Amino acid sequence: MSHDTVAEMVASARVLLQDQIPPYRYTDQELVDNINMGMLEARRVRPDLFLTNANNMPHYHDVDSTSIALDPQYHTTLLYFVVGHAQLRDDEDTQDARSELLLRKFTSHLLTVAS
Amino acid sequence: MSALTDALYDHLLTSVRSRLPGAIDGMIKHEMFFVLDDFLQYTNAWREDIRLRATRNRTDYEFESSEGTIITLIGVVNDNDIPVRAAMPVPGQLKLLNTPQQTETLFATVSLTVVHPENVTDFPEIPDWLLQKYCGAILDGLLAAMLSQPAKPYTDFGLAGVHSRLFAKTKAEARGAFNKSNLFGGQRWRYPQNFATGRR
Repeated sequence: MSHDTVAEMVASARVLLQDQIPPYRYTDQELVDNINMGMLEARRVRPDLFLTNANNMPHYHDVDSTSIALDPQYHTTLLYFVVGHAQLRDDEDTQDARSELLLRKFTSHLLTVAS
Repeated sequence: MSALTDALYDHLLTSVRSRLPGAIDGMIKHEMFFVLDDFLQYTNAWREDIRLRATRNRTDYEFESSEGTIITLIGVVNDNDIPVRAAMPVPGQLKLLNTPQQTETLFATVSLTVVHPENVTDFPEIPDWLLQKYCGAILDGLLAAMLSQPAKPYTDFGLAGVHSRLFAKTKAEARGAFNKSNLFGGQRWRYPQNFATGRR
């Protein structure tokens, strides 16, 4: 499954969050906000990923077919942030550990070759 | 840009991508400008003869290149290939050191560097022969520049040093080759002179 658009990214996140059947546990707006936060975090550690729009970061509003303005090889990396950040709000030990793992994976994918 | 240069750039990009995991094409193209500029500034390899019409009693002229950015004045000669004393206090401004007593045609040989591309993520325009002759050197320079970037998946300061030294070596060889007009075993030419300081 590709993650080229906001809708595809949110759909992929819902698979990992096991939240595909409405009413959703994580709202569409929460996941879109996570995409925006992930983009800003990526901009912080990898400004080279945003050479042409460094001063005008893309901001997404709705779950639609808007393309995600990030090099395709880092779309899965962004997905890890979206899922990890969504699970940050939960207060269970297993969720905390998973959230931490995914957020660490996001950063390590941006900064190292490690998979 | 010609189809040949496009193909050569693609070849270079393919090679660089395989050596720099996680690098994005836009960054590679962005760094290419600085690598080419460094190479051309050091070697004065890209040269152009610009024709000027010198008029009586006038010593200052403005001129520009249709291909690149002017960086150095190699020399000026007149219609009879006789060197003319001149200087270029500001790139693109020629100052004749002797006031012309008649109208004559002059030829200013200048060295060029790349022009900033319209988009930062575009390859700069260069002559075909440059990439054909020095593809390996440009690759070394590009790898040195990319590998020395901190906090990237492809960061490797050791390898950056290796490629930087290889690039420096080839730049020095290229500079010598262009000073001899790429003539194998050639001696330094009297024309064009690097410094048009007087007539011989």
